[in-house]
Amino acid sequence: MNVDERGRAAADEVRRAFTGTDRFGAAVEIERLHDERHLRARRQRWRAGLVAAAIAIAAIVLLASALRARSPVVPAHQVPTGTILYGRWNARIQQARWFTANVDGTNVRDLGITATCARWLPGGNEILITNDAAVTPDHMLRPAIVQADGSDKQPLEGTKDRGFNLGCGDVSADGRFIVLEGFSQRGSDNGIYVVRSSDGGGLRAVAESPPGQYIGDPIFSPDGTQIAFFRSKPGVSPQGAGAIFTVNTDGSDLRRITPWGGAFMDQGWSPDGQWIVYQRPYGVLTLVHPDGSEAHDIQLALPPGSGAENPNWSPDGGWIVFSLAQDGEANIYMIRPDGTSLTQITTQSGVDEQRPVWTLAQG
Amino acid sequence: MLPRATPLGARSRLVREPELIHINPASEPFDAFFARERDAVLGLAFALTGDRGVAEDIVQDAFLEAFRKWDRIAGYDRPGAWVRRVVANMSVSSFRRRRGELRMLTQLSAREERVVPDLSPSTLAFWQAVRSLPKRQAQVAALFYLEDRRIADIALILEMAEGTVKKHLHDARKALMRTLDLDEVTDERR
Repeated sequence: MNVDERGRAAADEVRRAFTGTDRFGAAVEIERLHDERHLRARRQRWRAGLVAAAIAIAAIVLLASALRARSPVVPAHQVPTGTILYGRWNARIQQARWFTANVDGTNVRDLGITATCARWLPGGNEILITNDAAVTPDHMLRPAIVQADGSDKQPLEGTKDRGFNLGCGDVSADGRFIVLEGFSQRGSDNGIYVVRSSDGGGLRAVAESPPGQYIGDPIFSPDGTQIAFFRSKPGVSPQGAGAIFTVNTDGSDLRRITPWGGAFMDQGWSPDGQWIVYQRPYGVLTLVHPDGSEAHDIQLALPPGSGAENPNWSPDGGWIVFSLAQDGEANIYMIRPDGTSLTQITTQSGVDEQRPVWTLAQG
Repeated sequence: MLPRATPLGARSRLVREPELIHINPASEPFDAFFARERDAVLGLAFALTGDRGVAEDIVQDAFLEAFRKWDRIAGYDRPGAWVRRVVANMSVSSFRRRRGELRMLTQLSAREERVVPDLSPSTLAFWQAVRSLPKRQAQVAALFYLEDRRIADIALILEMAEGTVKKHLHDARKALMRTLDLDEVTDERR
């Protein structure tokens, strides 16, 4: 059999499988499309009305906000300093717009960056991003570094494989290396990779994953000797859950430190190297030592239907910053590792804010 | 990039291309366009993603975009080509969708189980091999085999020169032959 005969036979089978299916039938979908279009039109009318109302009350709001004292959950003298980098997720384009804010929620700045992931470099003067804006069918995803204000993007193009993507990642404490999730349509080379931070070259694999499984969200340990990452596995319950792994940066000593199904994507390594904070599905913040011992949930009373995700540490290890999601919206919060002093950082309503990262540098 | 709308007076060009859509799109309601094209476009998205759930999401987004802009897109020579280009490009960017789906799960939204079509191992292996090709080759191969498109049609859909399509198809065939241990094609003229 030649390649065209095989291709046509495979095409016939797919065409039969996707012809006249009932479950996702055209009638149901066309109704959905009409509903969605009407909804959007209604939203546009609402927005127009809201803009008019907003202009009318803007002066009152500005005056009120100038006079209103902020009411922190914890005393002001306990609130630490620094700058939080976080994303506002846009479900339509499946990327986030990135912002910074002071830890007390003031000085919110739109960095003008749209990317899947972003993370402070050590020192907080620069940010590692996924360079989604440069992706085309002929140009794979690569990392880039921007200044703390979002300017001066420097693409890291040192890895030349045209079929291979390098996604979300983290920079080592000494600033020399970047650990990234690597993936391709081939699927056979999905894994965790390390490259040089100077140019994105020197690609080497530290952990691999069977095709079809999600592997990602790698972070360095504070001393740079280990990497923690998340991996999913088919059949694991609940859906989308997986486990946290650690591996030495040379690829040796791979260990699973949570049960399968016991973790969800995104985790943070404490500055003293003693704890990893992660999300137990769905929405429960959990601490575990890097050797997998002493796992315990952070006792945190959250509103029904809400969930905590994307946890990360403050530079002094005294706080955990995270995204608190409810009804499709989310803001950035922080708590003490013992579950006390829950404090809201960002307050914008109607947004889905995620993946906060904290630096001591002031914005 | 969207194709340019062509004045109705220039439509005679279509007559020489029997594979393409002959219906006057300007007079066709969106519902009829959707009903005619949906299954084929869904098959294309599946071939390029290997995941029926992701394919359905992509097709839904692509047709919704076409629906929102239907006043304009209906005036194009080939609205079907526009939707296929959108789907082909979205299908090779499933990384972000995967991340978005995982994020939705953590917000406690219940999701129904995905349905995997009942396909033979041989067919699954073929499309897996197509997806392992560089993106442009995968798009060309999917349109060539799945939709039985001619080089000229594929060039129009993907906004490429015909020579570029031929080169991608040639390279894709070679790679598929190696991966699947298949015989060479003696006539590559299409």
